[in-house]
Amino acid sequence: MIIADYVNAMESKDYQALSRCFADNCRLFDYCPAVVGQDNFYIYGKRAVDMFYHNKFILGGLSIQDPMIVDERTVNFYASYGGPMVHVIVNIESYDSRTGLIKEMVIRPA
Amino acid sequence: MGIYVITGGSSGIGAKTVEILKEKGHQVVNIDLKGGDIDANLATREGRKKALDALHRQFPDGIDAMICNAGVNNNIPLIISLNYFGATEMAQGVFDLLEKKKGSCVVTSSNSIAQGGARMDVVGMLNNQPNEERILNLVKDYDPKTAHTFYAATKYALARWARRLSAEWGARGVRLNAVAPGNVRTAMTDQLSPQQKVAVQALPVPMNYGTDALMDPVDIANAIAFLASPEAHGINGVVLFVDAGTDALLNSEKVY
Repeated sequence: MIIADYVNAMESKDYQALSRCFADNCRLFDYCPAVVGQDNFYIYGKRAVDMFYHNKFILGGLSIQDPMIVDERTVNFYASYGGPMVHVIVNIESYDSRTGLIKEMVIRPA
Repeated sequence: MGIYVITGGSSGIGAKTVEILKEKGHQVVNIDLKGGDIDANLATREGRKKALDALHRQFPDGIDAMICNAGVNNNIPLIISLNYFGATEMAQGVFDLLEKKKGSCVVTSSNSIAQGGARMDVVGMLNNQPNEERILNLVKDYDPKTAHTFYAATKYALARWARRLSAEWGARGVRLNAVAPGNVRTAMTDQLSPQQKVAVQALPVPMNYGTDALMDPVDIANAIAFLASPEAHGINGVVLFVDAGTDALLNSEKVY
């Protein structure tokens, strides 16, 4: 399941493995940073995913804990955006039908 | 052709800027610690005075542009003195020469100002109570490992200083802008520690995706030359990010 690859990449802070989960023209929206007073994340494209999370894992203090995969489209975990923890729900809204890679992902506060 | 003055023009972005301006046929005066047309230590009040006296002697009828580019990223007192006071005092010191020719001033900031790493207390001191001796006395015992937070602070304060003064200067015919370069390949970045290199690489340069992590100095130099030129006549009080897309990647929601 690609959602397991996604979780593994997030846990190990492997931004390159993370980007490999996404289709070329993907969209990733994360509405949780606002909970801790930051701008939300709106990322377009797998290369941007790679670069953005490279920054967030190394300099931004982004990390996750205790992931629970609900089904092939949903996982929830505790995320730190460089400070307090936020309980988040990750939803894969759509897959690329040809490659099976993630086309659209939305992350919301739980 | 114009008279363009630049600080820190002996290497890196400054040297490329000198090259581009000379190619355009301008007279360029490089002020640097050594190897410049005027040798002066701009980290000291005496050095700044020496350079300003020389400029007023050589160009009593004015200059077309002042480019305050000299800077360092290690040694906290030097960061404070050169990056901030070495830029603002030089710019203010030639304002009369710029006003005579309705010229422009460009200061070199950094895209690190948008990364949240700047010590905002130091930014406030620099902008609001710019007493060099007192600030130097305050920072003298700080851990050198925190130099990057002071670097970002001086560059943040420099950009804000330019924004604050630009309206008054503009009303008197002198434009004042800042460029905010991304990570550029220079002598300064060649000396980074392995830990610093990891941090630099974590500020990806989108236009260089999958290749070199650092930008070419010529990309910054072209932007500086443009901002300093009459072609940028409508641009005043702007902080122009020249980072091949890093700031947009990391701060896409900040459109103003």
